[in-house]
Amino acid sequence: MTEAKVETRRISIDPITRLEGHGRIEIFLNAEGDVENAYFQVPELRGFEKFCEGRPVETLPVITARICGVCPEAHHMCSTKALDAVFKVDPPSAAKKLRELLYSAFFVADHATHFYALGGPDFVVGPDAPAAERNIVGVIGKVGMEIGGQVLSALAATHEVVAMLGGKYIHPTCGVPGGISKGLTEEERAKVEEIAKAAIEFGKLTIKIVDDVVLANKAYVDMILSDTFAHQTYYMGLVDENNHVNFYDGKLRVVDQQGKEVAKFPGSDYLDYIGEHVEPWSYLKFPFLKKVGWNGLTDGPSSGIYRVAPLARLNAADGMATPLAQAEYERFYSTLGGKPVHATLATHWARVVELVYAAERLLELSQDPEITSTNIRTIPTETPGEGVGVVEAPRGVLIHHYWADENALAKKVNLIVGTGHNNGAIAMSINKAAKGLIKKGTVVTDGLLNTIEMAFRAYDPCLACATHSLPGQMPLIVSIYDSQGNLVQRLRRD
Amino acid sequence: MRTLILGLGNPILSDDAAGLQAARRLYDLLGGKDVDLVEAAVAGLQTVQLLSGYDRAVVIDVVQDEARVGEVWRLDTEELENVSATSSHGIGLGQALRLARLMGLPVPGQILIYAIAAADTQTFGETLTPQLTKALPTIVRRIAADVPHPS
Repeated sequence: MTEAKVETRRISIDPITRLEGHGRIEIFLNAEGDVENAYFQVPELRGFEKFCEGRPVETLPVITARICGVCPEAHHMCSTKALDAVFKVDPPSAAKKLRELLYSAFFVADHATHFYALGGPDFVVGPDAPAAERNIVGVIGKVGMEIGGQVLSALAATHEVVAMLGGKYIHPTCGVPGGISKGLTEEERAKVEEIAKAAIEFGKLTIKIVDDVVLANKAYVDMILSDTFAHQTYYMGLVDENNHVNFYDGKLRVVDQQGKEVAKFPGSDYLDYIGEHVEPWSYLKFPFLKKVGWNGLTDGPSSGIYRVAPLARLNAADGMATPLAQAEYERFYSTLGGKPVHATLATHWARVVELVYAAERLLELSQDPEITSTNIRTIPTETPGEGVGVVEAPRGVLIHHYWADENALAKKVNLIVGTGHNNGAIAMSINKAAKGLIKKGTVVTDGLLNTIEMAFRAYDPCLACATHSLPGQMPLIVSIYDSQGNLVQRLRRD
Repeated sequence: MRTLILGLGNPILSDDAAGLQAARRLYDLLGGKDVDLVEAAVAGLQTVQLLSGYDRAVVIDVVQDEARVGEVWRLDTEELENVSATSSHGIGLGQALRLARLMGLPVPGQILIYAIAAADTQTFGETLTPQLTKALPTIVRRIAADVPHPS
């Protein structure tokens, strides 16, 4: 009876009782005062499928980019690729390169933002630093104003590339089935080349900060490699024909806990490989590998839980396609004890490896003789149907699946986003961190809470609700319940 | 004096669009020379990029607060600047302003920030809830009263 009562309390966290657009961590203690379970809840956005139904399918790249203000470029790109499939059209090679060029610039900006503004403060300023200092202002205070200036310049420059091609600041509108609506003039190309060179220098600087601030500090390295932040999961990522990481195109490759390939498939076959488990306490589904099966929120070879995003991409690939990024990739694994790396917090370093790759790829594409070609569109002639688009978003594999009728109106839409794939892993990470850090009689402090938050911050979870809630951030509520289900502590972090 | 009216929000998320709509109406009231209107769905650093180069800015956004739908508050930027970042993405507007000042960026001397209380910011849709639709003209008048016409 008591158990049933506790169960009721757990599932009572529903949208009706939710106050605002908060992220919530619910921690349940047992009779001994240890952590029994911990859950992460995110607000649910409702009615997206219905909103899309009946609309001209070619408007979806603009609509899906509006789902959130965080990664509109990723949705736009994925949606555009889904339209290529819906209209059965193959874009000219120059169009693919232009799309990838825009996408590489976006990755530089997005990864830089995360490293300096979000994940970085934990390491650069320190996990125990007061919350008021643990932010980008604190990071710049620590590493110097000059670097602050470089961060802002790099962000502004890469946004300029996105705007140059995307046609619109923030929300790109350039993707069309069969290509891209705008090309690059020689003058613009030269500008992109210059920006790419600066981005590579910025990447090198960021590697140096990883070295000086994180790797040189034994306490940080020990924390990164500690069991509290590790899970032995499968990993999924998009790879090119050489099994190198690719953000724009390729096949989805899955490796096991030893780094051995267990699946490799085109994105259009995703339903054969990915199942979605539903838990009563979460709005978000839990994707898992169908061939392994759902075995609860556990890791190991018998659990179908897999991870996506920077660490997973590096684990799922055999290397990086550009020289500096490849060198850093090798150093990443030699420093962290070989492949694959299961340490969730290593994701921050993996993100920097990818930042360097994105900058190098941006330069390669800007120097490609075909990049100023005006042959950037193949006009669709087939009757539209069903199509799947896949890209790597900064937060992991992004899948858009559309069904259109013969008049190109959307009949059905299915999206699996990066944070969705990682949902099971995020839940496990928070649970494990809470269990490792909160013991009988522990006083729950701000620093301790931050350490638990670090477990999910590494995934850079995309909670669309957080795009612009007024202070521009998502407040977090941590609630701690005793074994009877009574609320014993609630901490609000704004 | 150059003024920016910046509406923040998602145009396809029901009441989330209230800041955008209010900004548009405010622009219609005040508009003209030296006043620009920008509608965006961004936060933090990108907001600062948008604000750069103006003498004055009016920022209008939305907070979900079912109990006070239709009310509007003016927020204190100093208070915002002291809020810490726990966001999964982007940084807060206040923190971004602090950073911009630290870096010597041209941030407007006067920034008025308004929050409109909304009923539903989590259902996809292109219209505001009836309660907020009704309240919008009053909200805009209330904001306009704070903002003298640019001279």
